[in-house]
Formats: sequence, C-alpha cells, structure tokens
Amino acid sequence: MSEPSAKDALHVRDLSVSFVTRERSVRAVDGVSFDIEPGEVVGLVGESGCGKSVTSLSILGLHEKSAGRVTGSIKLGEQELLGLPHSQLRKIRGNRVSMIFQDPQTSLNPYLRVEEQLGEVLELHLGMQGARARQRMLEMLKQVGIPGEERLRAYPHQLSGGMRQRVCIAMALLCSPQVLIADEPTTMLDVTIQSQILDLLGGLRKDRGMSILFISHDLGVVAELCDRVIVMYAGRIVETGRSAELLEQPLHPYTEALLKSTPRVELKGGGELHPIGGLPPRLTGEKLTECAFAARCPRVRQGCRDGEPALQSAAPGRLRRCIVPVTDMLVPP
Amino acid sequence: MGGHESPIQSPFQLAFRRLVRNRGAVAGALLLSLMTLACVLLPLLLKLDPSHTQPVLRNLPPSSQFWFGTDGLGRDLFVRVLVGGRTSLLVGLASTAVSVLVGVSYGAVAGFYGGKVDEAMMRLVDFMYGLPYMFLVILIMLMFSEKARGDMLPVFLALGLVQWLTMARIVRGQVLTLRRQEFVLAAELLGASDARILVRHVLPNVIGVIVVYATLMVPSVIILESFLSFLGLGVALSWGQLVSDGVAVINPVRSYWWLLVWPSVFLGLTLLSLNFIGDGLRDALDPKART
Amino acid sequence: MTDPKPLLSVEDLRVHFNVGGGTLKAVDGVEFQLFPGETLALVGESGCGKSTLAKALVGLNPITSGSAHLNGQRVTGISRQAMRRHRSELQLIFQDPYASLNPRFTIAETLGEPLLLHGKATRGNVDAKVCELLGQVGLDTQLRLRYPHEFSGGQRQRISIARALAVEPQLLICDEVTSALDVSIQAQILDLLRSVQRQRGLTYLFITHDLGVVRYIAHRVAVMYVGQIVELRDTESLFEAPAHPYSQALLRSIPRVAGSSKRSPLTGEVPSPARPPSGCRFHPRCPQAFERCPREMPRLYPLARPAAAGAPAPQEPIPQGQSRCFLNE
Repeated sequence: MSEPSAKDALHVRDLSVSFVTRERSVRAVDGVSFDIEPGEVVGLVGESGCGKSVTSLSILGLHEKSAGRVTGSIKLGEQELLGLPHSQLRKIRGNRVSMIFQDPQTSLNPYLRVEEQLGEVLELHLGMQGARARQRMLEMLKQVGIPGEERLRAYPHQLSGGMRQRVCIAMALLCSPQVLIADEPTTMLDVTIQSQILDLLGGLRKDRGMSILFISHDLGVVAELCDRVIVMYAGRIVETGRSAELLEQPLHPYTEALLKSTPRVELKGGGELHPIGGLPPRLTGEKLTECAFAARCPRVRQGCRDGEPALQSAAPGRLRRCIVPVTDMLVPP
Repeated sequence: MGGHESPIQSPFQLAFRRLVRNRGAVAGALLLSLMTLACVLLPLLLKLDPSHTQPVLRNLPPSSQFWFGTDGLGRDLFVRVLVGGRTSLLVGLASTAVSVLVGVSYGAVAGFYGGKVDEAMMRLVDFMYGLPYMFLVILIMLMFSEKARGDMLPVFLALGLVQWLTMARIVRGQVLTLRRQEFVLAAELLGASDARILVRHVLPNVIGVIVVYATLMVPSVIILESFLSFLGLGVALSWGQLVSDGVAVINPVRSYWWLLVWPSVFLGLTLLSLNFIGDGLRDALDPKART
Repeated sequence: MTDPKPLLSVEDLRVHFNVGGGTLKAVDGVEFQLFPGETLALVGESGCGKSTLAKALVGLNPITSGSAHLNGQRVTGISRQAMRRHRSELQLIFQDPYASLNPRFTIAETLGEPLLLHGKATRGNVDAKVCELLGQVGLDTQLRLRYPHEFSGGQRQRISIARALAVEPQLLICDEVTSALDVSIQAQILDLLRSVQRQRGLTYLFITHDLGVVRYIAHRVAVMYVGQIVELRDTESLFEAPAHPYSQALLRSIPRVAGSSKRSPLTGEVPSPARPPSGCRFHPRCPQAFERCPREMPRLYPLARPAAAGAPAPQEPIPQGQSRCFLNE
C-alpha cells in the first residue's frame, strides 16, 4: 500500500460500459474520456440514463458485475484501476479514491454506531485503533461540522439527513483521498441544508487539495461548486468546459436546451421555459449512426444524421460533439 | 422505455413468459400434469379396481404382471397408487381451495379496513393459530361418524379450515401495504366505492402472491393428510394411507419394500413438482424482475 | 376578471398525529384562500407540512381541528359518502409516477374509470372520450391499450394528469408532481399544466420544494415552516423582496446558474414537527431574532401592497401579502 505523496490526477480514457442481458445489450457509457487534475472540482451533468452514475461507479469497480462489461482505461496517477484484482481495488476504495452517494438514508449501516463505521475505515486502511483512531474521528467530525463526542455513539436513525451526509463525507475523507467522487450528494437534502453541505465541500477541497468528481443534474449546484463541467447525453460526452463559460454560453444544443428548460429562480417569472420535445433515445448495443440528440435538437440540420460527430475542440478549453458552427450557437436557433 | 413497436403485454402475460423460461417450473408442471392425467384417466379408461382382492397373490414383489407388486390382500399396488393419487391430489386441491376462499376474503377485509376492524379480526386468527393444529384437525374429524370418516369431505374440510389462517395473514399483509399505494389512493380520490377499490384495484395485485402460496400450500396439505392417515384418520385410499400401510408391515425378516417405496416416490415427486412450480411462480411474479 | 369569492378557503387547519410519546404537529394552524383561476404554490422544506396539508384537503389524512371549504361547502371532517360528492370538484395528483397507476389496468381502463364513475361518458362513447383526454395531455391515442410499465416517468405523469382532468375538477392539487422527473421532462409537464389551466380555467394548489418552479408557475406563494405559513405573497414580491427572515434565508441558499450568490448558509437543522421550538419556530436559526421571539408566537401580519404587479394575476386587487414575523408587525 503506497503512501499518497504528491497528489495524482485521474485519467479516464475511452471508457465504455455495456450491460448485456439475455434480451438486449445496452451501451450505457460510450467512449468517455476526461481528466481531473489535483485540486479540481469537475461536474458531471446530465439527465437520467445519460450514463453519469455508471461512469462514476466504474471508476471504483462498483458497477453491476453480472451484466456489466467495462473497457478502456482509468488511471490514478500511473496506476491503472480498470481490471485491478479485487484485493488491490479494495485498498484504493475509501483510501485513495472515496465515494459518497445520494441517499443518506441507505448509505450508512443502520445497525452500527457512527464510531464503529468510521472506525472500520481507519482500521482497514490505516491500521489505526483505539485512542488514536478516536482522536482522528473526532477531528474529522469537527471538520465536517459535527463537533462533540455524543454523535460518535449515535446510530444513523438518530441523525438528520444533513448530518448523515456529513458523516458520510467524514467517512470518505478519513484517509485523505486524492479523489472524492460525489454522486448527487445533495439531491435528497433540503435547500438550506444543501447550502451548508456545498459550502463544506468547497472548504474541504481548498484545505486538502483534493479533487472532486461531482455528479448532478442540478445546473445551479454545478455552477456554484465546480471549476469545470462535463455534459453527458445518451452515454457520451457532448460538451466540456469551464463552468462559468459553459453555462453562460453553451456550445452544444443539448446544453443550451437544458439551460433553457430549467426554471431560473433568479429571473423574473422564472425565465422562459422551453421544454425539449420527445424522449431521450433508447440505448442499444450498437454504435450510433447519427448524432444522439438529432431527434430532439432545435438546431438540427443537414449532416446531423450522417454519422455521429466526434468530440472536438471548439475554443480553448472547450470540447463539444456537434457540427453546428460556433458562430451559429451565439444566436438563438 | 416507450418502445411501442412491441406487442402489448399485460403484466400477467409478462409473468407467464418469465415462468416458461424457468426450467424447473416447466419440468415440474409437466411431471405434475403427467401424474395427474395418469391417476385420473388410467383407472377410468382401463377400468381398474383398486379393491380387487386376490388373497392368493398377496405380497408379491414387482413383476411384469404386477408392476408395483401386490399388498397383503393381493391387491395390485400400481392401481392402488394411481387411485390413491387421485385422492391425494383432490384432497390437496380441494383443501387449498377452501382455505384460499376463506382466507382471502377474511384477510382482504381485515387489511382493507385496517384499524380496529383489522385488530379484532387478527386477534381471532392469532387465537386460532395458538391452538394445537393437529388437535383441532383430529377434533373435527372425530365429529363425523365412524362411517363418514373414510370419506374425503371431512378431511378436506378439516384441513382447509385450519390452513386458511396462514392465507388470511398473508393476504391481510399484502392488502395492508397495497391500500396505501398511490394508485389505490387515486382510485379512492376518484370516488370509487370501497367494494370496487378492493375488487378491481387491490385484489388483482394480490393474486400473484395468492397463487404462489396456494401452490406451495397444496404439498403441505397432502403431507398433512398423509399424517392423518398414519393416525388412522385419513381418507380410505390415499398415498398417505398406502405409505402408512407400507410402514406397518416392515419387519426384519421380510421387507416388502415395494409397498413403501412406490407410494413414497409418487408422493415425493408430486411435492417436488409443486415446489418447483411455486418457486417459479414466485420468481415470475416478482415485480423486481423486469424484462 | 374580478371575483373576490374564494374557491377554496382554509381556516385554522390543524393536523396532529399521535406518535410515540408525543404529538407531531404536522400542520398547525394554516389559513389561506385560493381564488378561481390562480396558482398558489405551497413551498417549504421537509417537515413543513405541505404534503400533509394537501392530503388532508382531499380526505386522505384526518383533520384534528379547523376546516376547509370548497365553494362554500365544507370538505373536511365530513363522512366518506359526503366526501365522494366533492370528488368531481377537487382532485390530487401524486409525486411518484411509478406508484400512481394501477399496473394491471390498461391506460384506457385507468382513464375510463373516472369517466364512467362520474357520468362523463357512457360505455358507448368512453373510448372516444379517452382518446380526447390523451390528446389533451399530448399523448398518442394508440397508447391507450398499453400498460403502465411501458411508459416513462413523464408519460405516466401525463396519464395521471389526464385521469384527474377526466372528472372535470375545479381545483387541482399537484403534490410535487415534477420532483421525480428530469429537468427537460419537468419543463414539458409544467408547460402542459399551464396550458390546461388556461383552457379549462382551472385553479391549482401547487406543492413543491423547488423555488425555480415556483417562480415560473405560481401567481402567489405560501412559504411554510414547521407546520405553519410564515409568508403568503404574490410571487414577484416574494422573490424581489422577501419579508420573512426564513424566506430570505431560503432564497439566499439556492444555488444559481448565473450570477454569483453571496450565500451565507443558514445554520442549524430543520426542526422536527414533533418538537417545534417555542414561540416563533424560526427563532433558533434566525439571524434577526430578539428577546420576544422565543416567548411569543407571531401572527400573520399584513404587508404593504406591492407597487406594481409582477406576472398578471387572475384577480385584481391582488390579495394582501402576509408575514409571520414581529418585524412586520
């Protein structure tokens, strides 16, 4: 077990995840590539079925084993994570790469006290026990905003949703991971509590130089917390860029349509809502012969159905998968 | 979702498709059908008489003339196993039918109304559950005259009347949960009457569970009947009775193994088939197993 | 269109549950009026009682005290038979699209049932009416022979809406109907609800926790906190200048897509309705609390009228705003 020295970057290359059952096969994730530099917060955004959760689960090998087939490469620094034997992967999980999930209700074992769950992590990865472990736990809980000893002895059902999520964050950070994967951690929390958790995550990232892969469907949350954004649709990346730029001026019609169909609390009357017609495409096992968004795209034109566009650079730091000229994107469709 | 080029399939049809993919269940169903057909049709068609005694040919081991051998009174065991099977299967089915009828009605009402009604009704069930089961069955049996005791009616009444308790509990639990499901609340909101809600919305969604448990109840009823036969209280001719007779003649000198083995094998295979079918049904109707 | 008579009037409604060793005051003294043609949003965080209130109004939760009147007639605390007579006036749509349709019914049966029950169709023309309904919610009429499991969440919500519309109600309560849907589908449903409202002159009580949706769809908003309404205002006034400290904190906490928000998050947890704080329920978290706050419960005090209306309201004059804070006394 190597000691984490300098922080490593996470490199995902050509990640594809297919689920094969007797009836059909589905390419849930298709050729996804991205990097997360140390200290960066990258948002992974999309609606249900876009593949964002499957992507994040595959990084730690947590995808459904029976039907799932993963190809590509996922590297933490120099170390390849994909295909790592279970015994090795276990050493990475919770240690160098941690994950927190959406539902604080089911993320903690209802039969174990907080100190037992935190203690398990410390013992497993750092060989810490007894007083030293307890000290570390208390420190960590304090950092996530749960000061005091009483909470250590509590069972999850005695804690509120927000507090449970804080405990999960504490558990994830005990071993000072280099990368934290957060899968919609605030979606099930109240707005005022969500605000606290987002602040907490922002602060912790700064203090520890940790990178975060933040999965969400909420563009507002992503705008607040993330440095960069990756937009996914139908299992592939359709646009990436720095969050402020991307949300201010999207260069892919899907991102644009998503923004236009989100009610904006800061605009008078909630802004104008333009729903995206139709439904997301049904994923199959075959490669696409046209742009995945063509059927619903307000900017669809000649050439969109001739083949899937490649992910290309449209501006410094901006990638997108679309043939519509950038200048066209600057005016309404 | 929304692939509307595919044919329309109701949830029951989907479940049926899942069921036929389950090899154990299909095998069980085939075996059970074969046995049922044999037990019902063969004696009828071939005019076989299970009570035809030929004392001179008693206790013969299996041969080409008597496939399963003969018993202490020279009766053809093969015929007796078939006819006995008819009885056992009928008892199993009839008792289960009684318990389903009574249990479902009782449990549905208790679960639907909940609250005090439910409490009162379930207290009764709890009370009856507490009574020693066999004791009750024997009591009921003894209420019938000596002559009537060999008949089927008292037996399946007795068995059915005690088995309904389990079915009532199961149905009550299911109905209690379903009652709070949003589509049931929606029906209530639309102004549907209680009867309509229960019959058209709740029960169709409980049928799956009922069918599964009924299928798994039949084997246990058959075994219970066998036990009654052991006590001398069962139906005159059933597998259980045959097994009981077979055990009675076991002695260290001559083992009349065929008297015990054949009815036991048939009994065992039937129970196995029913269990496979029941398991298959449960898996097929499990809503989590989506196509 | 001036119509000062309210369609729905709720008076001091309380819904208390006996739990464990105490009382859970889910709804504790809620009072408001709903006027024909408008959309009133009920907004709040967990435990505020908005869903409990909605279910109480349709008889799915028992009332502890207080009342509600629809068209002048009492709809709470009445027998189930009496309740059934109001079913064609008041409907509720649920949040979970996967639980609100009977899996054993075809769509035609699901939509046919209310039509037949309330005499809106006969056996002869029910199919035609079902097709009509499906058209109104933007679904292909061929789909009526299919079963719910073949539909997406958004489509199922459309079917639920169609089912509610079948009885031709005057008031539709939408209980978090878009919360389980993706953003783009949510937009479709909100659009649908708005157009249906225009076509049929419906009134909505819209329950949600999403303030963006509120600003888009509601004419007036009631902000709830631990079982009570703390602010009742027309939408634009609430968002431009919230009066109650909780509303202010709520609006400050929302992450925005554009423009930085100087968020100073509210401290503390959302209190449980089983153990509400004394006096003003917000005082433990309120940045502007003073000595009076823990001792006394503030009433709803009227606020000054807005200078100019935001989105055009169905009725003029706009009902006066209210806020439950001593600062507004």
